[in-house]
Amino acid sequence: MSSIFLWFLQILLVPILSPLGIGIINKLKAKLQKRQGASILQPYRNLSKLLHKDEVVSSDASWISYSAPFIIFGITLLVGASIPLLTTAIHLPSSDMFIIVGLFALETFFLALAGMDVGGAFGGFGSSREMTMSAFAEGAFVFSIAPLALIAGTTNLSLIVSGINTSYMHSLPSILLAFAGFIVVLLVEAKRYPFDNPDTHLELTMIHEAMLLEYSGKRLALMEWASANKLFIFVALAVNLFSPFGVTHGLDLQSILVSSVITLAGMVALYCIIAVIESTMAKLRFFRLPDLIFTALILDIVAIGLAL
Amino acid sequence: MNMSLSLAVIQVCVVLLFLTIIGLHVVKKNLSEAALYSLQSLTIVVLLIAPHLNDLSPDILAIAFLTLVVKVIFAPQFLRHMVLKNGFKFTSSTYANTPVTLLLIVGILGLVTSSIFAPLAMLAGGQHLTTSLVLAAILSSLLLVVNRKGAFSEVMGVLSLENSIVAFGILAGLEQSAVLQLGIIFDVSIWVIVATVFVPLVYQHIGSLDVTNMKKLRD
Repeated sequence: MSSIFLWFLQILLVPILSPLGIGIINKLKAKLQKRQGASILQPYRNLSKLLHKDEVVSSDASWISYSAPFIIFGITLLVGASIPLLTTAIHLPSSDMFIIVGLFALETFFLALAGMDVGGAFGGFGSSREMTMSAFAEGAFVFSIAPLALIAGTTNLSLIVSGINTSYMHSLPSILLAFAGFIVVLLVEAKRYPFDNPDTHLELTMIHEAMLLEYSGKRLALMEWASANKLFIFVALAVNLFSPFGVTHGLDLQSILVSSVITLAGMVALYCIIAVIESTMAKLRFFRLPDLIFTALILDIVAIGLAL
Repeated sequence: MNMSLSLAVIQVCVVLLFLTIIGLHVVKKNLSEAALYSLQSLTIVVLLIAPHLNDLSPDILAIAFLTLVVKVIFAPQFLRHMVLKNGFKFTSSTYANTPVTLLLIVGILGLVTSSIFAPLAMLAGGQHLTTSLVLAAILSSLLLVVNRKGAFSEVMGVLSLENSIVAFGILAGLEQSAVLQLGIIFDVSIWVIVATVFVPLVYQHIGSLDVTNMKKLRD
């Protein structure tokens, strides 16, 4: 009973907290640029504003444009509910790493379709770039979790978190290399610097925002919210998979509260690191991006080699 | 408790050392290479201290401090100054492109974890994984020297090779006396000073730091 309650709590927690992460990154970036910046609650206000606006939909839009935001948002909710966030005691079939990667690939597929659906030039090139990046990133994603799966002897993310504790010190080099690869995957999948600029619609180099140009109002809110959810999920995975000491394995309230505080503290730290990366790095040229993802892939392969 | 802490610190340092060498292979700017070398040297400073967390002697602290001053601050600053003064911000091209270079590094790691290098890896006892990574770092530094066409990158490769050998010495328990360590640090500082004098001279004479353009030097 309590595990079902926790599962529902996690379904709510991911979309409730995810805009806060974007707010933290934006606030810290503003501070690093010596600006006051908007409140960390600004992403909530933006979502609220969009949710109250009317929509303008192209006459060429098919069912894909109408349904893609709901599918994409739904996928991020499902993945958010499947990852080991509050406790590892909930073992869902959807917690398997291959299912998570598959669900994100499905999300990317619908995002790319939505970008191309109305036939706009910007949407088309955004989708093209998205699929180019995804072709590299999905493989790197699998390979970055594979060393942990090898060490724990399972592909279920909850069982990985509980199983990796026993041999953590022995496998530390492998885990650290996999973590380095995962951080690159995080930045690609969440469309952050140096892969994409999430702040503008004006750059010809944009990837994610190009696919959202035709959206407005409620559907744009869902797309932006789904993007925040995705970043939250990747940050939570980075914290709990690669440093699983704070995650509880039980269902008692006290240990779950302590575990949540530790996880959230780790996530805030990682959000701050992302903000620092975005403030100190320029966006890379598109043709340099595969090199960086390939480097992550190589780090993951080395990690797998050491974990074997 | 201290033993496990020291082991964890050593493992983190070795992984950072390996990552900096991957970084040296990937980055395209000379200033980034100098920054990565500084980070790599910092891991060496921590590696010098980490095995002796229980019994830190003044000798080790003095050597670590000197390494910090020479390799983390002095040498990267000299190299940085040289790059900014002469305006060669970007590295020259490589013989093998980035993916092939990275695959070669995977090959190197496969080689050092094979039975061929097992006697060397076993020198560190239970830490054979970290020793294998350090051996891979040594060979990857050599690859950097061989693969890059730019003289500056080759300088970085030699400095990185020296750091990797020091790391291997520490892990394998082949540490020498403080006097020898002092000698090595002195050699590195002199080497960096000589490099910062000669590299700009070569650049002014040849107009490039690409070693393929330096055939004139033979005449």
